[in-house]
Amino acid sequence: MTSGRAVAGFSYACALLTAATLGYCLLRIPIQVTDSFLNILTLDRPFGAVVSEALRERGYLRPGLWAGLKVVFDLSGGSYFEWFRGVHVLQVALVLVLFVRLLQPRTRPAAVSVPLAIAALVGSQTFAWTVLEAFPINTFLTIVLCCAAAASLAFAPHRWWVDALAAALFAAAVLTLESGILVWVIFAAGSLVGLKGVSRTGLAVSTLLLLLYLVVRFAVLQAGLPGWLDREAGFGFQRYDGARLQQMFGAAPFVFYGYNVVSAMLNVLTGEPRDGVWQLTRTAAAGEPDPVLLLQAAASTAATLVVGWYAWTRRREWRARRFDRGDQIVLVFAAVLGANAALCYAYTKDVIMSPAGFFHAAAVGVAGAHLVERSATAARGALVRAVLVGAVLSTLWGARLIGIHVALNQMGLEVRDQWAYVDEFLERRNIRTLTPRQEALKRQLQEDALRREPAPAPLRNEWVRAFTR
Amino acid sequence: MTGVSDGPRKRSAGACVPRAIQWAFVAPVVAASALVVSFVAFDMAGAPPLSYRMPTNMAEAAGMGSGWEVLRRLRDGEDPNAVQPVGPDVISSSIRRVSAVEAAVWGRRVQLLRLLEREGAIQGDETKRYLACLATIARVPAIVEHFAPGGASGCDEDRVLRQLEARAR
Repeated sequence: MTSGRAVAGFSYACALLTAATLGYCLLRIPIQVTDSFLNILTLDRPFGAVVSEALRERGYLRPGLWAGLKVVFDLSGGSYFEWFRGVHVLQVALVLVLFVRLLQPRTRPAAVSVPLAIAALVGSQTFAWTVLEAFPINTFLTIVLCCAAAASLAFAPHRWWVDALAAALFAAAVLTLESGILVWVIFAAGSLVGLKGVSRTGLAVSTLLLLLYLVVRFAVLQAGLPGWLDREAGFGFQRYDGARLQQMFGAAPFVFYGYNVVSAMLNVLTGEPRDGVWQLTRTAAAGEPDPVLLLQAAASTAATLVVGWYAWTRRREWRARRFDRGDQIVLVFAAVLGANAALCYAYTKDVIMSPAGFFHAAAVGVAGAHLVERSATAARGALVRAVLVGAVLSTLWGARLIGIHVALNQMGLEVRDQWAYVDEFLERRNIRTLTPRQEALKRQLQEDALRREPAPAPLRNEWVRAFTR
Repeated sequence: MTGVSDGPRKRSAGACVPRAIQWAFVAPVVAASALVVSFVAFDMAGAPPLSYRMPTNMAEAAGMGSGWEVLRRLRDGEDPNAVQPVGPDVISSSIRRVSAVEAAVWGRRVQLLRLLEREGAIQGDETKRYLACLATIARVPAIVEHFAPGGASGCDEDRVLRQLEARAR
């Protein structure tokens, strides 16, 4: 017999081992130049100035993001790498722990699918850029963490303080990134499928906060929304700049919006398109399908098919609105997928879909456990099919688990090189002069990048090409 | 009425699961994790597998295109124009003794050469003419253009190549 405690212990050990290996790789990546160095320069001002500027920004309302960065910046006392990267590692570990907590494995079939589910989480294309870059905290990962915490609250037994925490979590998330709205979506979807952690009162409070946020954003601060022509975006087989997008969709932007929403959903479900571009299809049409993209697409599609099979086998219970924990996870995934994709209407990028990727992986864990469990009583033919499905899924996601570690290793080298060429980077950004304080900061971060030991070993090209693009 | 059903699926923790399916689900991912853990362990021990060796001097770092390693060594006071031994895998089996600046040319590292120039490692017209000549031999027009916009006039490719190869003897 396997005790529930042993199953839980095994599952958390898997999560912590993955957090440890990812953390090891992360701790060898210095603070990056792009998106981090300039942000750190911005933080070297009083707290009020940093936050008030965030409140005046057009198209965005992210004071929580800047407040969080500023707090860590001040706490660091100049040890920027240790603090910012430490927060990154801590976030990864918390996401993984909350992921296992969401799955709540108590049986052997559930335990059997946990390693697969963890690989489906960290090997996902939506997760990759939550660890490969930082600003210098990766706020996309912060939102994944908020969504994981939201799920944890929604699935918990109800206590009065859960409602209070839910409201605070929603406020923090939505003021960090726009996709923080997904925290409310999780509470609302959870309520619809019978979760009691956040009560109706708690949901009502979060809904009021959502309305307040919308009023403040659009009526009071008039921050509006980011324009769809502000940046380069993918469409079809390539990326286009704003001017070209204006030519293509100026008369009918809704076509572009619809494309982005559908692309974002398909990205999670099938691994294609990537950042709005049908890269695998393009390479396949040219007669040379990119093997790494093919692996990623095969893994995502196979996982989605298993989740779809699960939903099919549970359809009668669902029609009768009899949901168990696994059903609730899969249904919350569906809600988050739709809402997360809708948020991508103006611009889609793999990492923006990371909250949906989190729940997709959880749904894979649920469906995998269901498949394992049914095989216990299945006829020989069904058992063979289940074994094949399990082996294929596990092999594909195992390869992707290796892939994210390879990518992190390479990033450790790439960021060091970014610092070697930081002056060129600043020139390209038309930053010709730095104040003495900024120059000292640049020198400190550059020295840190050049001398931080140990540097990652340069992996042989064949290994890099086998697992990354 | 919405309800959370334990349903028939909630069985004892020790539900009998065929060994074949346990292996199918767990073995590949666990094998992948074991590979990652092994890599980390070897890496921590200073012997990372599946990797190129780390450069042993600035010339090797330049030849391998490791800008940060070149800059680190520059900051530590190494001379980028000092001739140093390089492994046969860095440039070629016949060119085994070069300076970091020369290695950057052979390695076609245009950005690295700009860095070396910015750091004061490449000075004087004669040096630039020599590097343009070297770039002509290595067939890197971007570097030739950078150091000799009008072309590497007076470049005796055979003589330069013989000199470089003679260093190894």
